Amino acid sequence: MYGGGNTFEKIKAKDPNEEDPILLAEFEARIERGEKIEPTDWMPDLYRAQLIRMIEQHAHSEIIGALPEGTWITRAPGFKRKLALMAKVQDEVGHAQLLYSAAETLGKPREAMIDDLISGKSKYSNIFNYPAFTWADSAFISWLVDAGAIVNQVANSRGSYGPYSRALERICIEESFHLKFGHHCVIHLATGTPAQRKMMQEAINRWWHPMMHFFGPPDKMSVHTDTLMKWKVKILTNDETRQQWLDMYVPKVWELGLTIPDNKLRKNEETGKWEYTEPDWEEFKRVINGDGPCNKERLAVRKTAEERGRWVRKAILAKDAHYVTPLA
Amino acid sequence: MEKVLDPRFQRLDIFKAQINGPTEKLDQLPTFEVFVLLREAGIYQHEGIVHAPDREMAFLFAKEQFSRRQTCAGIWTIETPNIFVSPYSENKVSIYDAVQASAETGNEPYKIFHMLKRGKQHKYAGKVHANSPEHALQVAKAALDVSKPVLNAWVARESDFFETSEEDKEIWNTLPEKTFREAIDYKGQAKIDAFLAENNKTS
Ligand SMILES: [Fe+2]
Ligand SMILES: [Fe+2]
Repeated sequence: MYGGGNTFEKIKAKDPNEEDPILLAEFEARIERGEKIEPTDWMPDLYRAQLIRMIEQHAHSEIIGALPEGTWITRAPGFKRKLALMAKVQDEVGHAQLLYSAAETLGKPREAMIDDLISGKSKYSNIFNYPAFTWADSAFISWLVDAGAIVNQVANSRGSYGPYSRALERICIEESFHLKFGHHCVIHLATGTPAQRKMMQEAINRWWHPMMHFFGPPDKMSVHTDTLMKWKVKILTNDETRQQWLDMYVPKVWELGLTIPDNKLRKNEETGKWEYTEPDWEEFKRVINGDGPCNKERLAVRKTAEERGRWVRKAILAKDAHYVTPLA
Repeated sequence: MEKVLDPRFQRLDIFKAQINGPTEKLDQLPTFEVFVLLREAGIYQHEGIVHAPDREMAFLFAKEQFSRRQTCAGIWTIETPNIFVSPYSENKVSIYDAVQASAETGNEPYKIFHMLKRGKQHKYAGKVHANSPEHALQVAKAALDVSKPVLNAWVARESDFFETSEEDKEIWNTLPEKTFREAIDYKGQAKIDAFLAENNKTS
């Protein structure tokens, strides 16, 4: 799950126990052998439904995730950072297209997904409901939010669904520049003037809790992940991805002399696990259900783009073209 | 609700946009499968799809989507329904096992793509002349390299493809100059080291 999206809502699909037992056994044996599932293969209803939801939410997260950084392109300090940020934002929108395509192979057309995004029916990564007030916020996103996404994406690229894995492999290659660019921007601020350091520190203070939410509710709160892990829809649990990210990036933040607003945060050398203050999961639920600082703005921007771009789509429409499910 | 931070939207009243419910049916453009040649000596490989009104437009979108970051030496686009898809076979079983090889060719050029491993892209296997997609597979069995088990094949008439030409290639000439899109262009360690050294001195 990219950013532990809407994992509280139960999914509507046929119970795997009601599936044809022979087909189900063959399907599970294939995954067990480490083979990928391709679009025309038989698959349980729950597998399809879960993948559509997950890939679709991931795609929406790329589109909406482009917005907080996108607003900083014109104000990014220096020409090279403008170029880089523009390229990064373009990559993110490209990622959305790759992911929509992967979800489409499972039978849900792209327009239907975009409709569900706009109507609020389908969710996106909660972290993008928070505002990027300063350039340092944008740098935080490029470095650390992307780092979180990479942990998820690298794991999920080992998943069982062929088109999703292929899209993620391509995405992961493109992400390496985002991460390095983001880190570079953060280093610049953290080693700069007192005002720059302060700006960076304030961004970390603002984004820390949304970032802890990013990986989704703790494993003890999430239900029904066993089947999804067995079918390799999910590869790592929410806690595993959170731990990986903490392990890779907290030392890098501390290295720059910056602090993290959680005085419980430390690595327990005995267990090898990070300990932290549990973020407020009620806030997470509230924001994901629409009541965050930027939810309305984010969707309004999408709606505006949809509305203002409509004449273009009408103008290029081919009269007798018709849509079929793409191949792979 | 906080003040909108997006500078573009001080010009526009974004909360006026009224789209409730589904967009119009007509917005669903058909899809085109995109094949990319990464470098001159390589082979065309399926990279994904784009939505477009026609295959030229599909090429424009494909160029942005698939040749923005990596090198590129050519792109083919074709509308999805124009591809004939063979059944998928199980591992180690070739779909050609069930095909009768034919030495008799036809008049229409067809492109053939093979998938050799689940999870991997379809790759261009070659061109044959035949009278139908099924016939093209029969000709392919005799004319192309099918020594490794082929798990799935795509067959399509060459005339249904939009192909970039020799002259088009210069659109990719500037790719190597855009180093700001490379991770290697962002080195920060020296700055961190200098910062740490400075800090150690003062503390
Ligand atoms: Fe991305
Ligand atoms: Fe990214």
